[in-house]
This record gives sequence, structure tokens and C-alpha cells, in this order.
Amino acid sequence: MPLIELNHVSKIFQTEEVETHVLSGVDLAIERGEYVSIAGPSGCGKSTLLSILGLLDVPTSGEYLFDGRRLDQLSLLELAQIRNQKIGFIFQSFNLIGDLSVAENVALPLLYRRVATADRDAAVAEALYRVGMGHRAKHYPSQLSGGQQQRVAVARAIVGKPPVLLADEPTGNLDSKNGAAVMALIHDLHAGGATICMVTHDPRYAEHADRTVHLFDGNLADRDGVLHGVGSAS
Amino acid sequence: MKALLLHELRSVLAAFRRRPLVPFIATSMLALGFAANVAVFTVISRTLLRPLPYARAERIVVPTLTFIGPGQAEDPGPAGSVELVQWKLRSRVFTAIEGVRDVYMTLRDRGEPQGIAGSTVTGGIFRLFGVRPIVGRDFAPEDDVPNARVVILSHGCWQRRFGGDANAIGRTIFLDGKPMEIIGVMPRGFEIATVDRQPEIFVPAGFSLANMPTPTSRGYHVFGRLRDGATLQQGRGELRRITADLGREYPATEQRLSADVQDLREAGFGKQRHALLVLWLMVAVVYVLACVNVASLLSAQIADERGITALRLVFGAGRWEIVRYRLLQTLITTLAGAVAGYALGRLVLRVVLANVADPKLTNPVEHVWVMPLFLLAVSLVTGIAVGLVPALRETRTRLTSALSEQSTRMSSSVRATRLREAFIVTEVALAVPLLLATAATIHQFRALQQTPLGFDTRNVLISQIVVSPKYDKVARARFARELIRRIEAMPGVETASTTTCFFTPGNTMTTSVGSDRLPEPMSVNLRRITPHYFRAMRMPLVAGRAFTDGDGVDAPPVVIISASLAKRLYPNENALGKRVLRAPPAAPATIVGIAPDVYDEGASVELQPTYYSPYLQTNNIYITIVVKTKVDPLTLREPVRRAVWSLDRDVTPSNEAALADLMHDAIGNERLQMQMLTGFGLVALLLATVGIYGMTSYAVASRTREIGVRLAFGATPRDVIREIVGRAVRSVSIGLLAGALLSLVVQRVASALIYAGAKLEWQSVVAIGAVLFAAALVAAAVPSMRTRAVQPVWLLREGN
Repeated sequence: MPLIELNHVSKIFQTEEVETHVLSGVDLAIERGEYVSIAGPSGCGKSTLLSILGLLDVPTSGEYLFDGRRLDQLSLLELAQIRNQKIGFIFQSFNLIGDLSVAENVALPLLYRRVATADRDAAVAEALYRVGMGHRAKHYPSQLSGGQQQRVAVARAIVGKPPVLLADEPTGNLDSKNGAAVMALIHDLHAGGATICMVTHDPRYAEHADRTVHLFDGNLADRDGVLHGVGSAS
Repeated sequence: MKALLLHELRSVLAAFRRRPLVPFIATSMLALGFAANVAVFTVISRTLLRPLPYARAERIVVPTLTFIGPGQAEDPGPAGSVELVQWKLRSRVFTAIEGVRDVYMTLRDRGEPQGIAGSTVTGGIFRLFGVRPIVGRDFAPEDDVPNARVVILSHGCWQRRFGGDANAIGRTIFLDGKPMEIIGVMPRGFEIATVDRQPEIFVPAGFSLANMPTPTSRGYHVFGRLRDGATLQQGRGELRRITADLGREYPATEQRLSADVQDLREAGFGKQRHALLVLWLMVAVVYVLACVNVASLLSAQIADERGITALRLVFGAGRWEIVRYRLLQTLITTLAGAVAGYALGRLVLRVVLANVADPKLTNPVEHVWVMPLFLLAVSLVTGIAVGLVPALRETRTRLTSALSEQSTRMSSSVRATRLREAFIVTEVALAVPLLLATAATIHQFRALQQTPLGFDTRNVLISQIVVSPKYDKVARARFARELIRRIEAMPGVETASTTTCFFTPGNTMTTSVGSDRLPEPMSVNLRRITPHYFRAMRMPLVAGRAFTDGDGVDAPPVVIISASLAKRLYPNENALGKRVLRAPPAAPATIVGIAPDVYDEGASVELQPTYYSPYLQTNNIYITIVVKTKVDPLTLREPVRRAVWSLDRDVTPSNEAALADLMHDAIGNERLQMQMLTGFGLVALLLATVGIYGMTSYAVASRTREIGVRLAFGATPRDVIREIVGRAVRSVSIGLLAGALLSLVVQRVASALIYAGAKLEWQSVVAIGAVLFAAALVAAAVPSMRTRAVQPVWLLREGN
């Protein structure tokens, strides 16, 4: 049984006059421990797909099964629990909280998991050590470079040891050196058994993945560009 | 340069048009702050700042007589004729000492006689003030003699009664039945500084050393003009020496007296100064609250416009241009607030002062340019103070981060968060002492209103008359007895009496009494009453009996004293049947009754030991008629007048009012102060609430992305609400704590000024805390509730 399974998932954004089909009947299965990259041109729906995978958004239609459970029947609380315990996020824009220290940012998932302070501090120290930011625990995000901020964001994503890691253009705001360092971290996490799903439009980094899924106008396509769904923007 | 400035002005105005909400809210808040300042500053400029309308006013001082009773503090009061004459004769430090005494007179010119507020004055009073009549002449030395037949009119009286006719000079009018010739008219606006009720007519007192009125007859407002080079302290020292000499020379009447000398402005406005300082302090806090709100709004706006500023810098704007733009923005806002505040303040003042009779407050401001100049100065200072610091900070914008923040923005910086929290804490901390002072004042006023006066004010008509001096003591007693008999015979009257109490604060007769246990005399309130007084006032005696018609001139002297006086004169004894020692030549009197202590001058005047004497035994020309009615008391006003006129056509009732209304008016100053404090307190509460709401909402809005991040990492909507509301509650709690500490400091440093003895009630603290908490909770909870309804991804996107 795949860890993540999407069946005919569509996402339509509706404004007063325009209806935009961002995803059109996407079928996708990701196995436990797999490293999948999602590639495609700008505006093809990559980030929307990742948001749905990360339970940050809901599909307009279709079915999403996470670890065999249908998600459309879960309450807000249950969804929050899955996000907290099963999924880690790395955003392109880091999304660190400015008025929390590095350690407090990293501790966030454990805070909502009600982990005891001592255990939380130990886990945070370990995660920061792992990304090479242990010496910056008491700093604030504004005192860090972009590369350092993204490493903190990675630490936050992995501190709760979630089985799934979702990364949305994790190197998008980094120079090549820092980008490579972050990709190496993600590679190590995968090597440690994590299931990784990463959006990227950089072919160099897409190649790190076991499998690349191409999105085009809201549909999955194979390497040759053959569509596996029917949809269009109108 | 000019073109650039115009361009910036246009772009500021265009920005206001595009986003009118922020400038509108800022202007409105400043307008409230300015309006409060305009109201109070107008009153201050009409009283404390107004130049006194006298020649070389700084040389004029106010001597007062002080009574040093056993265990009593010195209490400055009006002087008597003896002191006034002796001070005049013996003083070397003063070039002139003159006196003014309030009198009620009956004026008959044409038609019905009318009661009128007048003054008996010593002949040189107008020369002391350096003011001359505008029509006619001043009193000459030969006018200031006993039974003088000349008068000078006030400008108002001349206008109202004689239409401003210059031919009024030389005309004869009848005052208390005596023909008097009008010899002059005082200029418009002339007033006697320390007198509450300005006289309409001035009559020479006509006494000298050789012709001295009753020595114990006090009530003269005395004014002195210091010699050039002489100081107030020298004047005080000299009058104290003279008064001490008088004590030795006239031990029967002048013992235990001393003198004080006050600056004229202090004597005239000392009482108002306290209230005005309180109000000034409050409006200052209100204004600072408005400024804090505007500063917080501006900071929020600057944060929102960081990208635009960065673009302006990219395209060549210098640091000065950025600062100038922001200063233009704030100065236009503060000036608009000043204009709106001026209009609002004048309106508020007109409404508040509509029922205030004090001419010092209702006189127009003499220097009309003072207020606009004050507002202009304050608005410029405010504009610069509020705008400069954030504008300078704005010029340090890092271009790269400002332009790229769309992609890597952190939800909120530590500094921004702390600044927002500091604004909220400041708002609350400033508002709390002000609101507590308001609550304490309201509480104190309510207590004042609910103070049991000790008598029944319902269905009582009060009317004052001045019996003509042509009556002697026996004739006055007969007049009073006959008047009461006629009034009691009228339909609708239950009973009637007379007293010498005026039922208004600070206007009372006093005398000195002692006892076999207390040989040192003490100052007490004196009420001369006819037999049915306690019945008319529904004042059941504590012990003994009321006066009867038998307590007349030929009967043994008797008195009734208040319970507190009984305790002082005969501690731990039954005072009934014992003696009260009175100032010679009056013989000791026997105590026949103990009356309850009452607030007959209104609840705001402290309870005083009171001495009741039978009017039929000892009396004077002032009579207050007290009529207990079975009907609406005011319906008996005319019948009572007719009863008075049926006895003497030249005696005119004046100041007729229901006793309940007099007691209501007696706390009018406290009511006005309470109303103004409440008004400013409400404005402060509104500003603080709006400020807290605005800052909290803005804080929540600027944390939208952070909320999305928290949800992404497993926070439940409940966690998010708790987090956001918790922060708001924390800020308000810190503010409340700081405000409470500030209140304690203020109470300790200036308790007499701010709280005037009022106690802070825990209910007020809880209520104020609840309102401010509610504002913060609503502001934080409403937007955070959205997290239940939207997907986290929207919050992450919206935060961009």
C-alpha cells in the first residue's frame, strides 16, 4: 500500500469571473521511503499539488489517501495531528517566525505535539547539530543568512522525525553553494528512510530523486510530455 | 525644490485619497485629543492665564482674617469692620486697604421692588483697583459716611435697568426703602476678583473708627495695595502684628485672631486651580494616548509601505526626501486633527458651560489668538515628534531585503513585535490611572449625592429677605413672628420658619462659643431660627426641646447646639441644661436642646459644629424663610412674596428656590468636575480601546503567514487562537500592571490633586481591566477565528 495515494484529484480556483483548473484529475502514488521530485514550468500546479499532499489545502474533487486513510472525512484536529506527526515542510521562502529564536522555531512541531521541555530541547539540539546550526540556537532569523535560515527550516522539518518530508523549491532562494548543502541534507534524510516529495524546477536537483513526476497545465505527464489527465484552464 | 515639494504634497494627498481609512482614524483620534485640550485650555485661559483687569494688579493682595481656635487649623476668612478700619489706620506697608461686603438689597425704581445683589464698599475701593467709572464719578471721601445716599452701578445693571442711558446719573432709586442718587457707572467687565456673585450696585459702607458697626459683624472681602518695593511677606507680617495688637487691646472680640495675605490671583482662582490642574493633567494624558495611537498607526503604515519606500530610494530619493514625505504626511494629519479638534472642543465647551453661572468661566477669551497659536504649536510639535523617528528609521531601509521580502519575508521581526507590544502596554498603562481617577471621582460624587443631609429637602421653599435697617432688634423679631404667622396661614403650607442659613456652600455665619469645660472659644456655625425650624426641616432633636414663642427678647437666653458641638463643649457629659459661653457682651445661654448634625450648606461642605439661637432673642437683618409645603413648593413663591409685601413693601424676597434644588446646586462644582472628568475618561477609554483594537488587529494581520506556518507544523486552530489571544492578553496584562503601579505612584505623589481623597474601588479596577481586556480579546479573537474556516495554504499565501 502506498504511503500517499491521489485518485483523480482536481483543484479549481474560483473567482467572480474566472474558474481556473490548477489540477485536473491527477493520479499519483508515492511509496514509503521513496524520493519523488515534482517538476514542471511555472504555474503548472506544482505548489498546489504539494499543498494538497501536505494537507495545507483540500482538493476540489478526487480522493486522497494518506497511509491508507481517506483524508476528506477527517476533522481539523485530526488533520493537524497528521501534519504534526507525519509531515515535515521545507518552504522556498523559509517561513521562519521572526520573533522566535532559531531554537524556538525548530521546536515548533514538538510544541504542538506537547513534548516535554527536556525532550524537546534535546531533539532541537540534535536537529540543529544535524544541519550544522547548533551554534546559532539563540539567534533570531534576521541575524542569519539565507542559507542558514533554510538550514534552520530543514531542522524544523525533521525535528519531529516525520515519515514524510515535503519540500517546495527548497533551494529557490539560495545560491548554488547553499543550495547544494541543503540538497545534501535532504539526500541524507532520504538515506535515513524518510519519504521525500520535492517540488523543483532545477533539473540538477530533480535528478537526486528516485522518480520525477512532471506536471503540465495541471496534468501529470511522462518524460515525453504525454498527458495522463485531461484538463485545461478556462 | 518648490516643484518637488508640491509633487510630494500632491502625492501625500493622493495617498490619503487612495487609503483614506488610516488618515481618517488618525485625524479623528487627534481631534478628540485636541478637543479635550481646547476645552480645558479655554477655561484655563479665562481664569488662570487671563490678565487681571486692574492697574498694576501684581501689587494688589488679599488680606484675610484667620481664627485660631483650640484644636483647629487656621481658617482664612473675611475680616470684620474693626480689623478693616484698624488695618487701614495702622498699616505702613500698604498704600491702601479697602473692603467689600456682599449684601442683598431691595431696589425700587419703577414698578415692583426687586431683590438685587449689591456690595457695601469702603470709599477708596475703585481707586485701589485703579479703575474709574466710565460715566459719572467715583465715591468722594464725603460720600463714605453713615447713611450715605449715593450709589454706583455696575455696567450690567446700568444696561439692563437704564438701557445704558447716561442720564441715569443723578437719578434717584430706592434701596431698602431709602432714596439713593446714582453718581457713577463702572466699566464693562469690571469685577471684584474674589467675590463669587458680582454686585450690581455699590453703596458706601460709611463707617470709620468713630462710627464702628457691630464688632463681630464680619464678612468683608479686604484688598490691599502694597507700597512699591514692599513684599507680600512684609504685608502679611505687618497685618499679623497689628491683629495681635488688636487682640491685646480688645480681648473680648479680637483674641485668637491673626491675619494672612494672599496673592490676588491665588485668592481669586486658588479653588479653581486644583480642578483645572486635574483636568489639564487628564487632557494631557488623553492627548498622549491619541499620539501613541497615531504613532502606532504610522509605524504600521510605514511597515506596509517598506517596498514603496525602497523603490523611491532605488529611483534616487534621498534620505531627506523620505523624511520630508513622512513629515508632510503627519503634519497634514495633525493640522487636520487640530482644526477638527478646535471645532469639537468649542462645541463641547459650549454644551458643558451652558449651565455654569460663573462669569469667570463664561466670559469670552480676551486674546482670541492664543488658542489657534497654541493648537498650531502643539500640532507642529506632535507632527514632528510622531513622524520624525519612524521616518528616520525608514531611511535606513535595506533595499535588498525590502525588495526581496516578498519571497523570503519572515512573518514578523522581534523589533516590530516588541514595538507593537510596547504601544499596547503604553496605551493601557496611561489609560489606567486616568480611568481609575475618573472612576474614583464618579464614586466620590455618587457618595456625595447619597450623603444623608440630616433633613428632608422635599417640599421646602426657601426665600431670602433683608429686613430694612430701620427696624431695631425688637421690631425685627416682631416682623419675623408676624411673617411666619401669615405664611403658615396660607393654604398649602404645612409649617414655616426662618433661619440665617443660606443653604449654599461657603456662605455661612459663624460665631465663637465656649463652655465651662472649654473656656477657650471655638468657631461654630451660627443659625438664628424661629420656633418651627426643626419641624419645617424634619430634623428631630436628639434631646431637649425646640424654641418656642416664649424664648423672646425678655426671656432667659437659650440655645440649641448640634450633637458634635455638645461633644466638644461637654465631652462625656449631658450638655442639656448646661451653659454656652458667648462673646461679650452676650450673656451665657442655657442649652435647651441637642440637634442632629446636618449638611445645611450642601454635602460638599464638611460637617461643622452648629449653634442655634432663637431669632426672637438675637437677630440681624438677614432672614432665610423656610416653608414646608403640602404642594409643589415653587407654586407658593408668589403667595410668600405677597405675604412679605403685606408687611413691608420695601422688603423683597430673592433667591427663591426649592430646597432640593439648592442642595442639588450646592454640589454643582463637583458635578461639573465629575462630568468633565467622565468625559475625558470616556475619551481616554475610547482611544485606548481603539488603539488596543487597532494594534492587536494589525499584529494579527501581520502574523497571517506565521499562523499558516504554525498550522503547517501541526498547530490546531485552537492552538493558534490561544497563541494570538494569549499574546494580546499578555500585553494588556503588562499594561494593566504598569498602569496600576503608575496609579499608585500618582496617588502617592499627587493624591490631593488627582483623587482628592477618593478611594480606588476594586470594582473600578476590575471593570476597567475588563473593558481593555475585551478590546484586546475581540481584536485578537475575531481574525484568529478565521483559521478555522480557511486552509493553511491561504494564510501562507496571504502573508505574502
